[in-house]
Amino acid sequence: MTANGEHASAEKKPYEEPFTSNAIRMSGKELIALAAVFAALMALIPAAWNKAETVKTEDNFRIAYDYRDDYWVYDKWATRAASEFPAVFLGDSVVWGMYVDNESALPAVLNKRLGKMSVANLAIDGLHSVALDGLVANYCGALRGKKVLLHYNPLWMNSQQYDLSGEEETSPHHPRLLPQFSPGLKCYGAEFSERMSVTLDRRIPFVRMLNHLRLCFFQNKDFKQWIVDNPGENPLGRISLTIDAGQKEKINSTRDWVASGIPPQDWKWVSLQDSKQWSYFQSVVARLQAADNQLCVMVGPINPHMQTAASLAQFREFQQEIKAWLDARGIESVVVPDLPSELYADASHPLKEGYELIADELLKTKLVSSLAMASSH
Amino acid sequence: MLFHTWEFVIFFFVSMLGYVLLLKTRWWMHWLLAASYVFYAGWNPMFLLLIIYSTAVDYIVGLRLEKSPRRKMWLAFSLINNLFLLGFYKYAGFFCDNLRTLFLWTHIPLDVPHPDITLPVGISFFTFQSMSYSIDVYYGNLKVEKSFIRFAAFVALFPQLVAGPIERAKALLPQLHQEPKITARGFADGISLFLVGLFKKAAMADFLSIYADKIYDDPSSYGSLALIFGTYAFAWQIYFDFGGYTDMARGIARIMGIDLMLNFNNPYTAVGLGDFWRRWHISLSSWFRDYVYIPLGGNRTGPSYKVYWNVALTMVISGFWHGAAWTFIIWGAINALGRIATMDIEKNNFYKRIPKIVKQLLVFHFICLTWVFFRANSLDDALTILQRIGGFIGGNAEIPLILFALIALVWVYQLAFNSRFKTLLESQALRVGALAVALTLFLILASSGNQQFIYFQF
Repeated sequence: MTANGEHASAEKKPYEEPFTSNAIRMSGKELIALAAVFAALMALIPAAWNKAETVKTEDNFRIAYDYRDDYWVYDKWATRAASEFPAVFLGDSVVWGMYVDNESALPAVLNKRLGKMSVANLAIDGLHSVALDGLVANYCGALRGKKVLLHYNPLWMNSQQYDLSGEEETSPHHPRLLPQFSPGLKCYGAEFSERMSVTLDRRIPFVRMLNHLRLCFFQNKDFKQWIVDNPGENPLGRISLTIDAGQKEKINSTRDWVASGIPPQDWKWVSLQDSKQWSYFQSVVARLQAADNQLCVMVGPINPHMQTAASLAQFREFQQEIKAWLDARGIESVVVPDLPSELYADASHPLKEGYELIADELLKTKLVSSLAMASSH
Repeated sequence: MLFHTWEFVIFFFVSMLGYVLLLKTRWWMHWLLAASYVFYAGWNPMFLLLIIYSTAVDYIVGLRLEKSPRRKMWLAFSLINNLFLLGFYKYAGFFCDNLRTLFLWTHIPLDVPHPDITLPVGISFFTFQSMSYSIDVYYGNLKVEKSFIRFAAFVALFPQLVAGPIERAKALLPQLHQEPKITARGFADGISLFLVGLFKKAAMADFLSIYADKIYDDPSSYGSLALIFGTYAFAWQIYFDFGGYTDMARGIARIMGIDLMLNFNNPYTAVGLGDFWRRWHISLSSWFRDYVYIPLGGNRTGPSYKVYWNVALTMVISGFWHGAAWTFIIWGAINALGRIATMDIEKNNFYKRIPKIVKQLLVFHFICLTWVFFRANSLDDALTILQRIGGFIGGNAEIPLILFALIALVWVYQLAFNSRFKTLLESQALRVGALAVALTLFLILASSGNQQFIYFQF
């Protein structure tokens, strides 16, 4: 065999010699060996990296706003939370605590009331139910046999655009968590190659690791672009094995919603029958139940003061339908009661005192009270 | 549909499935043609009509050339038709712009608007391929193709349709006369070629393009060193881009049991300009050699000035083929000057005694000089770049060291491949390991957005 792998005895073809410009000619066996080596690299590198890398956490840790799209970090945190905490809280920015500090987010308030770190904050900003379904399916494998507080925010149903049930193309939050090849999501107009890249991210840990490194250390830039933009820097020197991915301070300070001067609105609620968000939430429930998790669903809060009477009446109607659906399946639930107007920061986010009232409601549930009992033991 | 996209992977899987299933029937050729047309329609379905028209004309011309007494007229018809298509779609804008400038200079009160014509992808390639058929049939070097389907499949064969290699009818048509043999060896060869091509394009060329574009899009902001390295970056970018494309095209064809010609043979290891053009874009260089240079008289025309004229004309036309702009014409002219100036020197004993590496570096740098005109956005930019390089203007070159380290690695590999150290590269473990590392690098460096191949614009 020659340097480029040609068999001396091979039949001479018109363009056989040289095989090609500085290419490497492989035999069938060598290609199989290549596939094996490559597969091993794809499996071993991310596994070793995952083992070596640690996510720095503290009490009432929540993934920083800037890391909300880093599902590698999320997966690590979810895995750790599942092993260290008796319960986890899944949801969007309402649970994450958009306008409050770490100690005032809902899981933190519950921990304070329980006197122990019992509930891990697994919420991230912008996590609507369609994305939550993708998150649970792909990055929450560790959630098995746990107590799960699950947030359902009906606000995602207040227009076809947010509900993702419209046909007009939109830019939804967490596009990488959406179902990539579902014909039902007409508003998601990503290119085919982008959808495939998301699918690879989910299936190949090496690709996910690369996306994580890019997001964490390279300003979410393409590696090539980063190297050209930072010619004097050593890219390896930027990488650290300790990730400080926790939210440090309040993301946003705000007063109550009235101060912002927004008049009451007439939201175009999407009915439960037509809602994508509701349909995917049902799927989330099914997935978590299939993994033997004990669920308690928190519906709301929604700011009733920000709606017209007609809009509110419609909302009340399907709020009851949601409750009935959960009851029929034996799933414990809390429909968050209306808070005083001044305790809402906007359409759904409560202010600090609002979270205290919601925590009171949650403490009445079997799931949270069982945590209290466990704490007292 | 670019080769390194998922769309192509799916397209190829489906077309290969049908191809394999139909291979034992008389429908495999129909399937191959349909797949090629679907591939082309992926860019613009309307231009399918153009390729079908061009194919039909040359098919009929071929039949007429066999029987008609007015063979010359039929050949002229084919050439004029192909050159008209090329001229209309590719050069109309250039001619109108230059005419307008001329009228302005000569104060003729006529306005010539710039025609808004979309350039059909691959037109420069398929018209040249089709023309070579007519010329070969005319000179009796090739039998007339009686089957329209086979002829159409030859013109539109999808692996090489949009950027070559420009296959000769003599090499490709006979392969379509028999049922292609899909073998394990061919499959392994095809995969090898495709993977190396993928690495060249997506990891190397697209990486280099970021630096080259940054420098060339704003040359007056950079000093000599940055402009030199920007030019080096472009020299390797265009090689990896086009070479990578060709490797992928040859790999895909080889999986299908079809051999396409070698288009690049380590061009930057050339020891002379003649040697370079025997290694760079071989299918185009040999096309111009066979259908322009030799019919002009080649190097057997007697006095040397005639030979020089033939070289100059061939190279300038070749430059113009690459693009409708003065920069490409000047690129061709500089190459012609270089070739003419070194034709006799290369035969000289003194030149032969110069160490190979020095000759390689000299050739590489001359080619880099020509690339300045090829890549610059305008003639003014090209002149600015050369002025600034020559003016030893300082400034931070912002050279991404990793990028040039990768190039150095490839260059050393090429040199080793063509030296007595070649045996070092024979180890199976080294080759498997090198390709595994290359694929891993590809995954790391491949961007989410796939970039077009440079030669698609020609």
